[in-house]
Amino acid sequence: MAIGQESLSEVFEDPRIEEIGLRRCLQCGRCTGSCPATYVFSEFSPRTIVLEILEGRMDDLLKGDLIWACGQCYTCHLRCPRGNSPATVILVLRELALIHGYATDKVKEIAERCGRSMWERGVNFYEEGARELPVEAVADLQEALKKGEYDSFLKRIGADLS
Amino acid sequence: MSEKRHYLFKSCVLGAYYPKVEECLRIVFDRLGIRYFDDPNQSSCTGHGYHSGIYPFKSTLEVNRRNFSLARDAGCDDIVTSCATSYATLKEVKNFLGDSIEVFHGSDVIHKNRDRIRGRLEHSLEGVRLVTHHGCHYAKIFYKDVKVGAPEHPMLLDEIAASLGAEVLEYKERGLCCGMGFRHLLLDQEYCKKIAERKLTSMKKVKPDLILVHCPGCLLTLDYFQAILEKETGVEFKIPVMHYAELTALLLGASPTEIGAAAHHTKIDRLIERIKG
Repeated sequence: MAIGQESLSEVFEDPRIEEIGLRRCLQCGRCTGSCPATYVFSEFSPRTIVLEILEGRMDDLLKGDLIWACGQCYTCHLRCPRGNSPATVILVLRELALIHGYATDKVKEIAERCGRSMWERGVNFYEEGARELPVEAVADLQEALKKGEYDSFLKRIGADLS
Repeated sequence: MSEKRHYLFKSCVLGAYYPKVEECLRIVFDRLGIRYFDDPNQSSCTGHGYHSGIYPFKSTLEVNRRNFSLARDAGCDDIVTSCATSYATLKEVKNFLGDSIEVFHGSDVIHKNRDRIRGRLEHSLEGVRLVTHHGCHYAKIFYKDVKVGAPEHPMLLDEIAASLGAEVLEYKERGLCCGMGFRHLLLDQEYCKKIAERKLTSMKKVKPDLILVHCPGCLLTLDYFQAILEKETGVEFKIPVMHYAELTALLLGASPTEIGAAAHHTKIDRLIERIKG
C-alpha cells in the first residue's frame, strides 16, 4: 500500500468527518476566499487541501507544512455552502501527521511542552504561581487521559515525560 | 440556562497570563447573586492544544467526560466558560458524547442580566467609544447557537456595551480572527502579527477608546502584539483591550488591582481613571 493510503481511510473513519460534508465539497473556493491564513501564507488553500484528500493524495499533505498554516478561525466552516468544515478536516490531518511521525520537530516540541503541562498540572499553559490542579485531581485526570489513549499518543510522538 | 448554580469553567490562558481577569467573572456573579461552583479539580478542556492540532480528539473527549462528571457531581446542569474556545470545545464534546449538560459562555450570562447590571453600576461607560471583537469559536463553530445578532455579525458584546453606556463603533474587519491562531501563537507568530495588524489597523481607523473582547486568546493577542507591531512597523496603536468580565467587574466597583489591570501589556490605566472619574 502506498504511503498515505492507510491515512486516507483513517481520515474517513474519524468520527468528526461523519458530521461534515467533506464528500459534498464542490470546490467553489469560498473557504479559501475567506481564509485569514491564505492572506498570510499565499500557498495555503483550504479548497486545495480538501481536493487533495478527495483525490486521494495524502502523502504530501501529512508530510508538508501546509496543514499547519490554518489558524483555526472556522470562517470556512461557517461559510461553506455544503456543510463542509476544512478547519475540522485539518485537525484530523494534524493528528494523523503526528501519530505517523510526519510532523516537524517544532510541532513535536510544542506537543510535548503542552502535553507535559496537561499531564502534570491539568492545564495547557503554566506560568509560575498560576492555577494548577491539586495532586489528587492530577492522578484522577491522568486516568481519564489514559482512557483517551493520551499516554500512548505521547509515546508515539517520542515525548519523554520522565 | 439553569437557575441552579453554574459550573464555572476556568480558562488556562487567563490562569497563566491574566489570573486576576479570571477572578472577574466571580466578582460579577457575586455582586449579582448568581450562584456558581468554582471547582479546583476542573482541568483545562485542552481546547488550545486541541485546536493547535497537538492534542488528539479521543483524549479531548475523555478529559471533558471527566469535567462533565465533576460538574454533575457538584449538582450543576450547565457549565459557564470564560473562554470562547472552552465554549466550543465543550459543546463539541457534549455532542459527541450525547451528554445532556448545557454549555454557555460567560457573556451569555452577563447579557441575560444586563438590566440588573445597569441598575448596580458604580461607573458608566458614558462618553467611551469602543469596538467589539467576538471570539471566532463562539460565533463561527456553533453558529446556529448565536442568538444575538447573526453569526457573521454577532451583537452580544455590542448590546452588553451599550447597556453599560458605551458608544459602539462599527469597523470593516469586524469578522476577522484576532490573529491568535493557536499553534501560531505557540510557534513562529507570523500569522499572529499579520492578522493582528490587519485587525488593529481597521479598528484604529474609527478611533476607539477601547477594544472589548470575548475570549482570553483574543485578549492576549490584541493586547500583547500591539507593542511588538509598533516596534516592527513604527505604527502606534496603544488601544486598551479588555475582556468582557473584566470591564463589567470594573464598572460594578472592582478596583484596578482586583481586575488585574497591571497584567495588561497595553496600558489600561488612563482609561480606568477616565471611567472612574
